[in-house]
Amino acid sequence: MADQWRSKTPPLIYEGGIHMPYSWTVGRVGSRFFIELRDNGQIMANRCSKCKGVWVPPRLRCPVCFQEIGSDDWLEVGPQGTLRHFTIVRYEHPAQPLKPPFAYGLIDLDGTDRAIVHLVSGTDLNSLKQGIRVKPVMRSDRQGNMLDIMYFTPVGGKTQ
Amino acid sequence: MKRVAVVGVAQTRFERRIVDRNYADLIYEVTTGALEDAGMTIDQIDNVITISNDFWDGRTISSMAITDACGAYGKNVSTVEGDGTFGMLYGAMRIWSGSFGTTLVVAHSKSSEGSLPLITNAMFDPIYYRPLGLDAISSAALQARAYMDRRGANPEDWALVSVKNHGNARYNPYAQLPMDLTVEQVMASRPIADPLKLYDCSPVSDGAGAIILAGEDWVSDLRQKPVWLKGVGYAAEPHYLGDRDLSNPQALTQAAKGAYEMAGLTDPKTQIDFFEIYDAFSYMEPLWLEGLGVCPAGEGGKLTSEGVTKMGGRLSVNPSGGVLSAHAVLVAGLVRVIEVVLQIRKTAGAHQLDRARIGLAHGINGPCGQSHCVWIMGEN
Repeated sequence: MADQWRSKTPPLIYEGGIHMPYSWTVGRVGSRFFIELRDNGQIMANRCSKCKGVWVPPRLRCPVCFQEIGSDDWLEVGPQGTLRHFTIVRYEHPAQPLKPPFAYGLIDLDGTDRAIVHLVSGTDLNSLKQGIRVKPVMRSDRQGNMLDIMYFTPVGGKTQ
Repeated sequence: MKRVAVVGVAQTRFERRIVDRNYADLIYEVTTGALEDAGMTIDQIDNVITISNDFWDGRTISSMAITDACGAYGKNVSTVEGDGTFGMLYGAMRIWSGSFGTTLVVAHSKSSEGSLPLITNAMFDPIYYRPLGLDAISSAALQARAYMDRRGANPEDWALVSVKNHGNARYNPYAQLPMDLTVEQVMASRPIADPLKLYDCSPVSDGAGAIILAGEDWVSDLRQKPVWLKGVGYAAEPHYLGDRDLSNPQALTQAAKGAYEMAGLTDPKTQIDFFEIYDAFSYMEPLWLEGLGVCPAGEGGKLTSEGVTKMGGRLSVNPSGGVLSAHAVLVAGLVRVIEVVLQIRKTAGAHQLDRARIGLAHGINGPCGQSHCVWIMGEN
């Protein structure tokens, strides 16, 4: 049979990879958010003057009304919040900033309408419940990025 | 507006890792397969929509690498980076607009070649979400929890979805994971990200699929009975998970409404005979059924536990085994379409339904079903 070579040829695998550095611009709105977080340990949001929605992280434009949010419409929110939903992660991959098991939470920071997603740790994960109060644990050497908040942890909760 | 039909389909068998064929080989296989099915030659295809993703392929402008394999020389070829159902939307619109007569829509994925957590981590914005390490599974786990917290969903019902769909896959020769499971086995499977366990999650799969769309002026000369596109709807939600109510798939509700209206369906739960929907995770099947409006919010799980969604039930859902039984990313929505076509033609084989005149195919794109595309197809 003419095609016999197919079954006789072992399929080779070529191992490769892509390392692609980027220098992402954060934008003025995001920069202000991260500078406040870095320099003052404060979590900032902004409020749409039309729908009154409070957005965190802050937005240049209200995604609902599609109108610009003014620079005076900023406010400090949190830092405490309520755990809306959570999951305990039990598998590992190289992009995770913490070693599993840890949790992700959708957290309603006080004074906001929308949740942020962040890590939840520093506690017995089995004690996590929907609706509990959580607070951020800040890094001391903050760099101006999301991981300046190391994770959220239950208010009054014991450390692991 | 010209009527458009699916006149040819092909899919590969889906496998955890296909090492004897590269992605171009898979595309060639389904392109020639769909042409053969339709009784057409490549010269009769006047434009091509490819569906590919640069991260999964590990190169930029991944669509340009496959023009040879899909016979696109000398034709217009355009690309959708998203689920196959959205590629089909683009392809159908090109015929509806009158610009083209026949469209080949082809999707491929070799999910096994890259890293699922790293690639799906990269679907999140690099500044706010990606540094947290979120990926497709952990974000879905948050949605599953939201479904429990807000709509009272029960993971045992999801386990039954997994049992049903892996069981259906036993009758589908293209499926990757035909399995005889019990609810107890699903519930006791390895915890991945609470509340999701191993058998709540779809597998990593390699494979490809293709369909040929043609305007009504074409169909009389072709081999297959045409399966008509009767309605389509689509919508998207915000990118940030925290901006969404993950327990309420609003975009799906909106997409379904558009598709039902276009198809002239007034009572979809009695007028649609069967559903092929994107169950990347077990909880998605009942949640999407709620979004599709075939049951009230919070009652999707009951449809499974009461047997309504089983093969041959009042609403047969995923008689193919669904995405839980084979999940080639990007291809999986197009496979839902292909399965609906096979059912309506009455050529689905061992998983053929008795009643399959009008079917619904559904695809998603983005984390937690950020966007949805709903197709209604029928025999006339």
